[in-house]
Amino acid sequence: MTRTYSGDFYELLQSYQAQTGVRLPLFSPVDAPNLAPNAALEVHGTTVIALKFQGGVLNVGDRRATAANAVMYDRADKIIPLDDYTLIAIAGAYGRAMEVVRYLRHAFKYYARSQLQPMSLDGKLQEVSRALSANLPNALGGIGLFIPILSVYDPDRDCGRIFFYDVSGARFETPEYGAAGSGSDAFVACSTTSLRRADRSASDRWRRCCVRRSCCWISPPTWTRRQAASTRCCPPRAM
Amino acid sequence: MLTPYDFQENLQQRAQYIRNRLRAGSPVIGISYDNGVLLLALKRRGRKVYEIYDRLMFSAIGNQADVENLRLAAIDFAHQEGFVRSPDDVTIQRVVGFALAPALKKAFGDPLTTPFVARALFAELHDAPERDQFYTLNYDGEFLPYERFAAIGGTQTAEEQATRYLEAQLTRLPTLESALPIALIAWGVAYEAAQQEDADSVSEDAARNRLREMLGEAQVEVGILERQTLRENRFRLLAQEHLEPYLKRL
Repeated sequence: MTRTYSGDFYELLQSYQAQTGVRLPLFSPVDAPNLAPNAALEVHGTTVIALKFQGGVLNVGDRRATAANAVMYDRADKIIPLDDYTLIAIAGAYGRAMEVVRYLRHAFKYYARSQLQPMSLDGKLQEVSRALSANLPNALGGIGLFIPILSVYDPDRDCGRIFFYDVSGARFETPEYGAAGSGSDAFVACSTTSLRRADRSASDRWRRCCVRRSCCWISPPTWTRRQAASTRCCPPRAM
Repeated sequence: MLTPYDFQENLQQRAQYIRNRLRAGSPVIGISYDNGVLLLALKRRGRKVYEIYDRLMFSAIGNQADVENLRLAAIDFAHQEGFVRSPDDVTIQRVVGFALAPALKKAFGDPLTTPFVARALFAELHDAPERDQFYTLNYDGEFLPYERFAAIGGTQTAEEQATRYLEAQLTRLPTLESALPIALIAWGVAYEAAQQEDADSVSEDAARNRLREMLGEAQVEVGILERQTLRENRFRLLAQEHLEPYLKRL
């Protein structure tokens, strides 16, 4: 009756594809002309930020989805809980990113439920790398480039940690804060001066991040929390 | 002397064999309460109550390998469907009725395979308590839906008596606090009834005594799916210290 025993969701979906003949979009690279590879590797229009504070890790991001130079949607969620201990913030191609987020949410839960133990932190980080490298052909084709930041609670060290990735899935850990998207260079530049001096309360750090509208954080006792205000648009001055 | 193969006799023998093995099984009680659904079982070793999907959980009696097979098949199907379509499309009736029951039926009827030795209870959480659902799934693929509460046990009379007890006690929607003592006694009723084949009805005292006696060698395990929660996962097992007060009061 069963097919997989390893708790690997990727394997389960592969066998589903083989059995049903249904091709899942996540695993089918888009045949796009290889126009300008270098230009294609830029993420623009979004900035998501993760930073540590005393009680956990705070994530902020904008909520705008664009098509070329038009604003399509102003309520997009770019910060999404993957499970009770993991937050992902994404910059880049929204469609692909959402597909991967959906995949990751299922992959973590599938592993935990079938193997009767939660996926390890390293296992989760590796799963993100794997999804990114699987997406590389799309990114190189000019469609589907996105870059995530992962904020996690590490149960072994009892602290929050932040990881960021490059397009091909390489993973880096950052000691205090991470950013992805077009504003990330500016953020890193300004935060090295202003955030270093900041005390480590969440509200103060939030105020100093000049980005508006979407906010999530992870902190004990249940590590992922979504602030009620994040589902509404609040004016920048409210922060 | 060779006797011709008799399909009916074969099925009867298989059913008899499975029923004998299920008789010693430790019952499972399911109750829907205001803020969720609970499944209560007693475990000697290992787990008894498992999470299947966001709003689905399961427990079973029988051969551990068969129970595990059922559990993994349900999890595989639920996650595949939840990803390819939507988590909202993963429902108890699809998982039990389409993914599991036909396979059980096939294994039971096929003389060349060993049948599943298992009887399972599934619980599904909804936004409104009156829409919560339970499904029992039998070794031969038979499945039945229930509302408000359900029980599986070693024998049919055990289940009937536990259900009768639950029916009498659960006159209105309980809270977790009021549902737990009822579920514990209902467990005792089911277990006691399965032990005494000819007992018409098991008294509450007999059930309580049996439960107390069993607690010496086994632990209570309660899995819940929470309706209102801040957590990503609705499922959790109640901690032992949460259960202590209820066990002391027995």
